[in-house]
Amino acid sequence: MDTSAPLVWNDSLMTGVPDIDEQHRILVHSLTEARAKLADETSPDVLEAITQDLLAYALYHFETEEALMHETGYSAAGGADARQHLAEHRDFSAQVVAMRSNLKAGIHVAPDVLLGFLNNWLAKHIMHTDKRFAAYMLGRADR
Amino acid sequence: MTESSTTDLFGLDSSRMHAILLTLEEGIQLWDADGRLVYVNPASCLQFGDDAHSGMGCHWTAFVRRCATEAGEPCDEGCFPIGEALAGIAIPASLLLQIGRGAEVIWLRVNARPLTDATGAIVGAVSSTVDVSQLIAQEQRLKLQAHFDILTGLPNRVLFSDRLDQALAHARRHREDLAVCMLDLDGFKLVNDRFGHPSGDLLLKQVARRLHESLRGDDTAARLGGDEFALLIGDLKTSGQCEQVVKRILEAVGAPYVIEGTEVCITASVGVTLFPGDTVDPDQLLRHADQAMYKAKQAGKNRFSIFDPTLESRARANFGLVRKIEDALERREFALYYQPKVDCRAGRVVGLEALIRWNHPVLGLRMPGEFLPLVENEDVIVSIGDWVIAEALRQQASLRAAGHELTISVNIAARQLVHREFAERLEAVLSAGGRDRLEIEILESAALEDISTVSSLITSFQQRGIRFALDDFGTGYSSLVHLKRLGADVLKIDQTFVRDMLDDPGDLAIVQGVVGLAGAFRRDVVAEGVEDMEHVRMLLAVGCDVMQGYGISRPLPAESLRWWLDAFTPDPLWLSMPPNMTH
Repeated sequence: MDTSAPLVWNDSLMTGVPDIDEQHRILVHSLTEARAKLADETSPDVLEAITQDLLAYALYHFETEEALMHETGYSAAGGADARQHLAEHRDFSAQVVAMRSNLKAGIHVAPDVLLGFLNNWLAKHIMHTDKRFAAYMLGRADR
Repeated sequence: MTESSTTDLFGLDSSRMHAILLTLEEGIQLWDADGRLVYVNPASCLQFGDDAHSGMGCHWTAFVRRCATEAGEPCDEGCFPIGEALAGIAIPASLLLQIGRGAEVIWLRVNARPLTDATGAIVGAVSSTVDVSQLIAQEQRLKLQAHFDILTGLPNRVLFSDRLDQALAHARRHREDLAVCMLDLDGFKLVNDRFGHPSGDLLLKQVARRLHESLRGDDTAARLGGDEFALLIGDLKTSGQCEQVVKRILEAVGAPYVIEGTEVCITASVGVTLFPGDTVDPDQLLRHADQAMYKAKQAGKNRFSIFDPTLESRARANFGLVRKIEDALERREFALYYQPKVDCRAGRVVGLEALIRWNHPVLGLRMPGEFLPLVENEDVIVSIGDWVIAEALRQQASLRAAGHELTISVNIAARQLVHREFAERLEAVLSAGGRDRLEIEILESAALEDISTVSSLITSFQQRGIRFALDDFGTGYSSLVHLKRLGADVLKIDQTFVRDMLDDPGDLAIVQGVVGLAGAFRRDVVAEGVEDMEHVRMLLAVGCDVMQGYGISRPLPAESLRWWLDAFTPDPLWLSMPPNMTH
């Protein structure tokens, strides 16, 4: 299970790209909110609503990031980092979809598993993957 | 030293000079070349008090106390004009000098010029001092007014915005929560109308005092104008803590007031937004708090409401997505992939399931599970369903022309079936000849409320040769009821059961159960999610011959489907299975 500290929004998560930071803030806040909701109630309906929100926000946010990756040439210039970045996005959606199909089939999804996955994924993805992309973008803007 | 004891000052007759300077309100002082005081006029004595006389012969530095530039910046004796004049600077900048006179503090403006002899050598300096205490006091009053509200004494909008910047910086540094609140009195205008503006002002003063008293020392209450106040509450550990403070404020403001002997009651509505949940932009924080305040007003006043940044942003994201999915349909970004269903015992392809994909311009090929749930309650889901049926039938006609006569199934959400125009629209896309071999897989049938309507729809289309399948059979809560009443032709065993049936006896029991039910009700049965030969073997063993899944074929785009069908030959291993044990 998740052993890392619950992620809350703070300056160390800032990538320096305003649009991306704003969306990350919302994502992290959604996680905080999901944590509060699930502490209260863990019915399949709540899990279903939370995962649906995640899907929606992921689609919205990934499009913003990936469009920027194309525009800034990172998709090509970023090499393995860029491929890894896309793979993490796809993995996120796939995991959420898998949890939803389990829920639909009546298979119990433990709130800790969902929260742990989100917590780790967001922390790792923002702190490492997104920051590498942001560093590329900001370096490019300086030139 | 007295005036009469000196007969000559820098070549002037001192008594004559004294007579000239007697009438001046400005203080005039003369200093010798060494910087020592040698003359003061009577006005100087008034300004400096006894210091003027007792200071005679003292060096000018003895008079320097607190100094400031004309702009109010503090400065030291290095820029004192007398020193500069003696050093030869022709026009030293004037300075403000603060001196104490008894209990009084007065400010003097000090100017100085060098005095030279006929050869131009500096022989001393003359300085003048003007009492500017009143001017300075007025300036301070103005400065205060620029930052504080005159009526209530609370910080005004300018100072509040300063404090907000500081509080945000502090909250970020220390990772604390900060609440930004807007407070508006409920029905303040009525008080003004009924008791007059002076009474209204008295009330505002009392409200301000209560706000100030309800907050901790580091927090800020400000008056932004009229009956509108803003609050900053910092150092919050939980959002519950913020709610407590705001409740306390509502109670404090809501307690009765006595205005000129009359008891007056008034309440307030408060809007709150919390950093860091909300944005870092101060103006936007205030706008969000204001929005929340209006929500509190709308919800009946005398309450608070907390701005929900995710709700707003998600609403924006969701709305954007619905629009995008509508556009995607228009731009033909959706595509159908086809997954073959194979009767492994007979070794032939019996049908295709059409599965939607979104060819997203940025994100590439997206699976239905990622985007359909986002629009399942939107009108566009109906249009998507129409497109899927029409496209599947078009594909079927083209396959038929190539010699492949196959049933194609499409997924339709249960709530779409009950859409009142569904029957008409389906009728419209079916070809007149009745050659379509269409199967409708009903998704999420557990959500069906109006079973009898759907049941009669199913019956009427079954007469036209359309088949119906219950998708994900066994996963809902009312599968058996649906099986009995909906009259579907096919039961599909959900892939979650197939996936785990080799390891989990419970799942295997469900698979066997569904196969048994299908037999008893004389329905066909199809297993989903077949991944390998072991699955095929087990399904054949329990009597489920028709199956689909990655173990047989992935869903294929139309381009490679024809090729796959042409090349299809049954796996010899399927045919080597022992005969069905359950039949």
